[in-house]
Amino acid sequence: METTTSTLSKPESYLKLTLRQLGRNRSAKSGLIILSLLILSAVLAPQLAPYDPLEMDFTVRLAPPSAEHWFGTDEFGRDILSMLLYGGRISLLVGVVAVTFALFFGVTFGVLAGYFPKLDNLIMRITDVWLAFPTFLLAIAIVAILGPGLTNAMIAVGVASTPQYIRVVRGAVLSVKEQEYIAAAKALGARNGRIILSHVLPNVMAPIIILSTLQFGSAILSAAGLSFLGLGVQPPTPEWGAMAFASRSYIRQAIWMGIFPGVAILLMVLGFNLLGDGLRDVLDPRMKQ
Amino acid sequence: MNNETLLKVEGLKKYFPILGGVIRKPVGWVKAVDGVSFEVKKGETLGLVGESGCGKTTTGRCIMHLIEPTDGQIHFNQDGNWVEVNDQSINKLRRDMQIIFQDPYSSLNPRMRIQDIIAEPMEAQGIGKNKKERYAEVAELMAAVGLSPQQMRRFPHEFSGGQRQRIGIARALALRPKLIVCDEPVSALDVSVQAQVLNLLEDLQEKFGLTYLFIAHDLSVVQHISNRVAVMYLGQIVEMAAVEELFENPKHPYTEALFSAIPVPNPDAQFKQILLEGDVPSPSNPPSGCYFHPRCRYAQDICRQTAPVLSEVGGGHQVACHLADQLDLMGVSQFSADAGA
Repeated sequence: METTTSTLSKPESYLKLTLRQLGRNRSAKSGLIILSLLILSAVLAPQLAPYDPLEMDFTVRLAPPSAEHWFGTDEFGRDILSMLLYGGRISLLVGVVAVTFALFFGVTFGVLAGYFPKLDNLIMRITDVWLAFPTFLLAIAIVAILGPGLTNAMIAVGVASTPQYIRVVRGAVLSVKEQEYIAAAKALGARNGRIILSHVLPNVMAPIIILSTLQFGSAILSAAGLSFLGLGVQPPTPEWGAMAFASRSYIRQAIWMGIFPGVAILLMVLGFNLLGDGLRDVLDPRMKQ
Repeated sequence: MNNETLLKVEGLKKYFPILGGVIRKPVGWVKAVDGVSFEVKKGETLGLVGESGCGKTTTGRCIMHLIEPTDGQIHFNQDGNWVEVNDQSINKLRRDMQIIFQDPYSSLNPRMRIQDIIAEPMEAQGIGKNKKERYAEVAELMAAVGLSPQQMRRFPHEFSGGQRQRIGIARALALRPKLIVCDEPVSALDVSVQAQVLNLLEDLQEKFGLTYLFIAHDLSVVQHISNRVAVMYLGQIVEMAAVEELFENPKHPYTEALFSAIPVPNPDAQFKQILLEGDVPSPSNPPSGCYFHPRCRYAQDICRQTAPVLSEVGGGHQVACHLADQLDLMGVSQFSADAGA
């Protein structure tokens, strides 16, 4: 019995194991590094920013990158680096809130539709109608109803990206539901709630994670689009998307106004994609050695 | 083995709808199981054989109530009381009835550790005080099925097919059931592992006093493990008898044809195979009279018109054939003797 008692000692938690594996995965590691840098710079914006992002200085309008202004200035003479640091907070917030919103409702309804055949038709027909609207148009319509502003823009983007989750999750649940371990769980008397939580959900994580990384990028882009149309973040609050769009009139004189916010968005989307790819590999126990 | 009956199946039917049209309404029915009746006695192994698509698996799953039967009754003898298997009673019956699945790969959740897979029945049924107690039980079960308890924290993909099947058996045993439905438990394994798993099943039967409903398509496996055998064709039982009686003295032409297909391990053998012509008819549109008549070499007019009923021909041997007492059919040993000659 010595051998059995030793194996009965407290098992390493799943989270710990996953984190250890994550450190070994090159793509996840690069994603994590990029994202932590971006998140850190957003959190520490007040300490890092060389200028007040709202402070206008008309003597240095549209100044190119220099020692004083590393990333140059915009048409009002505001420091672009400082604006980017502060804007990162808004972009991250929009991404997190919109994706969490869509994730919660999308997974809930997706699992219900996939698992309970009686609900399937009802939920999926509504989802089809929902999907028929282009995401961005739907977001605009929702903001038009709720009124402009950051909170409403986040809700709008979340609502608009929910049906994609429902579709993906339902499909994954349908295929998992046919596996014999679901039949086995039923045969040993497990109730639906238990089957969904411990058998269905863990096995549909991979597509959910991939979709979330993609949605994160598009949520940030959609929110930026809304800001551009004056429906999202209200000026003068700095926001990456709004900055990129604002630069379009000055693209000939001050290319840096568009490039730096664009690179910031690119880095953030890239970071989430790399992390998502790595997470998928790590969360799949078949990949564990 | 005593004579007490443990499971009674009467007139079991399962029809699957064929959905058509825009509104998906049934345009026909696949009669997967079409009026099956049998009894399983305490401590015995009843083999259920037949080719693919004859309804063996559907029968097993109806008994476990994993799918709802269209018609018919299933009764389980729970400590002397006959309990009908239905939506209300099934959860209490789960402790007494378990199932082992065919595919050891898809029957274990790839995201769960072995200890949690085997402990799940106890958790779902509220057996055992805490995790530690349940894991101790898991270690015992793993030892009972020939696995090392040190491996309990591993994931299913770290095991071979035979080991995975042992895990499935340990999970089924966790509730200490009386009846285990074995749904082709060895057909996905290679032959040497098949023998190990079959021997394990026999040992466990003795140790825990189990009763098996053993579903298979491999006749030699069924001959090895069963006490009695039921032969299914197109959703119906065509013949049922004790294993020696059935293999030596088949009464149904389909059973005879099945036996002739058992390979004989002799390269010089002159095969005297009975080749069945045509395919199995569609279960959505079965032939008239005896379902087997279009492929039966003995078929007569009566076979085309009236369906035979399963009836006793002596010694517990039941057969559904109009010509049962007229035909002199060959048993397994005759085929192998002829083949050897």
